[in-house]
Amino acid sequence: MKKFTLSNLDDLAIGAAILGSGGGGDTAYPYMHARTVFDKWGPSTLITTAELKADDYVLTIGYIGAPLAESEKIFSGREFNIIINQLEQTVQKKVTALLPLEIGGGNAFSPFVIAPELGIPIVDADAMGRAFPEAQMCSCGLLGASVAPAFITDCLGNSVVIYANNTMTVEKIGRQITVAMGSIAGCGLYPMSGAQVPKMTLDKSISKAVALGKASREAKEKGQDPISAILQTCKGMLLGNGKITDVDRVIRDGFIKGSIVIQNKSEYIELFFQNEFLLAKINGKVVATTPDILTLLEVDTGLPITSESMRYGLKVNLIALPSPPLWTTQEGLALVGPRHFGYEMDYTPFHKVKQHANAVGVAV
Amino acid sequence: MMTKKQKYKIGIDVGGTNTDLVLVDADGKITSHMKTATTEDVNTGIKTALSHVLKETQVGSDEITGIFIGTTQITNAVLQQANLYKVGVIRLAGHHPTSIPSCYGWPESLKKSLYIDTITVGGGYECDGDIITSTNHAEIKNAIEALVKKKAESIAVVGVFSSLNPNQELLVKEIAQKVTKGNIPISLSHQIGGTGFIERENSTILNAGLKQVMSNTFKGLVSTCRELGLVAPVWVTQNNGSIVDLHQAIDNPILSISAGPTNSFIGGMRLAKVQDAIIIDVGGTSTDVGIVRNGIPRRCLNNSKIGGVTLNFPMPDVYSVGMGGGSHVEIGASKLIVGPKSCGNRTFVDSLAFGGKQLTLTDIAVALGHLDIPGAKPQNVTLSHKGCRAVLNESIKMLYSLIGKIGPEEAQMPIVMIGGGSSLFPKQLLDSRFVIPPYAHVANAYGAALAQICGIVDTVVSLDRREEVLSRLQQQAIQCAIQKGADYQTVKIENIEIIPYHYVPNRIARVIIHAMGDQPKT
Repeated sequence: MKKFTLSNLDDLAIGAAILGSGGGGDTAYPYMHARTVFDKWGPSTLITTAELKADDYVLTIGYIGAPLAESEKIFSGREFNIIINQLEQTVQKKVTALLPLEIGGGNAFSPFVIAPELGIPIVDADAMGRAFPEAQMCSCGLLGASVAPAFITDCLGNSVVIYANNTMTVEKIGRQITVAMGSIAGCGLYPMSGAQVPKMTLDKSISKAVALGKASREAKEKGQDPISAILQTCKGMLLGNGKITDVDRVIRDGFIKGSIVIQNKSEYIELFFQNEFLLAKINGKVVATTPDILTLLEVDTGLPITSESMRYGLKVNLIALPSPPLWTTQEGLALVGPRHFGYEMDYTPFHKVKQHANAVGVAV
Repeated sequence: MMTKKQKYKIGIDVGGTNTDLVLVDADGKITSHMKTATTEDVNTGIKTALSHVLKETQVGSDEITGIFIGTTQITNAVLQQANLYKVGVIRLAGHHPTSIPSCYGWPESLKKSLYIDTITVGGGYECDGDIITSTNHAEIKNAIEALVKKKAESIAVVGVFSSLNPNQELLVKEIAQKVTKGNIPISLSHQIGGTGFIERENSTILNAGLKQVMSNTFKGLVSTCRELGLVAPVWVTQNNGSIVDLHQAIDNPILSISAGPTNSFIGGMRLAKVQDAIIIDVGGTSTDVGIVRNGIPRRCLNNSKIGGVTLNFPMPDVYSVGMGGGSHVEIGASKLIVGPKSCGNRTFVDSLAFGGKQLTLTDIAVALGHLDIPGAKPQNVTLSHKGCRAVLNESIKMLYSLIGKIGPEEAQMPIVMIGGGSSLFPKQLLDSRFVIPPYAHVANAYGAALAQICGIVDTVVSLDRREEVLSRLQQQAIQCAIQKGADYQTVKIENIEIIPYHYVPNRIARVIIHAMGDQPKT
């Protein structure tokens, strides 16, 4: 058990954006929201999955909907109070800890905007280990936890509870409900016992994200390169760098889809995305794919860039971080591998491709 | 003696240090210019420059067709937190958000100097155009009265998705004008920024706070013009390089906050007679670089920041480095440092060459013989020739690294260098892409004189027949610019902004199109 302070929150903002792989929603507003909560209620408490007691009752929470809607209709700040109240009334049990559905992007902050007020701890874990676009792309679903009862609550306090057999169905029904709620809502799903959480979630996600942000910040404070600090922290690899020379982006089916081109003297790097960055090619050759975490860092600042804010002329580094092992299993790849997103190829671990390329002297 | 009446325009740049003025003839040539110190009241400096030029050229006051002013007074007011109105905020947001309060993350002193309170009332829109909750006349009236009671001098109104539908904000303005009998200025967020509630609220609050600065800046101007017999209209230049009348400029000062760099980029490009260029403006304290394509300064796509506050309206994409004519030069054992400390408007007092105690970049240029300023004594600069060359090389390195930030296109584009400090760098030490045009030191006043006329179409339409609809709206914007007086041969579409209503049939969207054209030749 340890205190999670304002400065941890600052580091989380950077780390969550790195793990967001270009998506997961902008961290700016959720981060500001969490800070106002810390200002009012004091810091949070972070506990490890091992510290949970078997009879703890843990809820996974996050935001669902379109980033555009959230950028205008900012959260009322009461969404999660309502969800937790209703769950407690429904099951006649007290929620004793929270965890974020998704550590990548703005969703990482969801437990931090409510836990200090309720005085309950946040579990150092999440259900994705990065960012993914749909709720069923989570460890709890893949590993067989029950999603029900799932709550969706909008900013006016309107609330819907879904009893569904699987997350895919919750996603399907929930999307429609979210649209009717103005395209942004809070959600709470996968209520689990303390005994279940260690088996169903990805361990230490929050502290990993904080460590990434901290490494970046400390390197900058010492006048060192934040990017190599980030890569060292998470066994990542620099795939390439250059200036963005083309951005082709459309909004289709509620996602931002497209590709960008990054160029330097010898390399032509193509990066394909659907909210998150999913596939990278260098000089026509695939060097990394989902579920490995692809992230763009701005050269000047070392800060991660979302797929919404890429622009022509920006100097960037393309880095890859290893996927949580869960997603590179056969079952995991079926859910979040390249084929699921419409790319006709197998998952290619970046460290194999890039090392091979180095060995034969191509695309360094 | 003049035999035939000519037509002239006057361009004025009111900077933090200097007020520059140019007289431009019908062919766009600078026929006279004047640089004088910016005065506390602004107006005296403008009057000095105007009288000087009119007297020197013997141009008749009735030969002047327009006076075009750009100013950095507004930016400076934010940075210095001076003369700001106290602002009360009304949020139209039926869900009463408490997640992020107004002015969150602002520098505390700026917040203190202009912010009073926020009252949230029913209203706001969803992303599909539905209302979040309905507005209530009495509630709005009470909110305004409460803010006035708390001594709000200016009111900012910001509604959720007002960028999709401005009606609720307009309603608040109507009620507020009745309640305050028109005595308190009202700023509406939909007139200021795009989507992004917090940044638009920030922009609107700053706008509300700055109204006094803008009206003070130009308070005496109309009567000054009258005294000098000038009957020509006065125009103020905006962030996008177009003009508005004084009344509109005072209404939305924030839309003129970055007119300074815009004017210098446009002025530099026109002085160099190019359409595409990298423009470097070397001032006393800092050097700005921007890029002009097809005659239009490239816009900043990311959120911009002024005085520590994040904003979200279009501004020119400017990269800056703290290096200019007044920059302190410090020579250490292993390295030399140029800037960011600067003597600013005391450069010609505090620099060694002028009998001061501080080694500045101006001293280096004087000592090397690149600059010949009356009263400067090169012998005061004791640094060796080799040392001076090293400093100059370091500054040139800083210039190039600034240019490198601009983007991959730098390899081909000409680099136009302007501003009061442009003569610090002798052309022979720069590569062949550099152009230092004549009148480089008054480029921003020239840019103001050339400011364009903008036609705006702002409407909600179905984009089912997207190409057809957009092309019709573009024509409307062009016609609008021509009706306002733009030269039809030069009008082109400057910006198209499409804000879609999500999840509604027929692809309904708010479309905002700006067409801009030159002022007529005569």
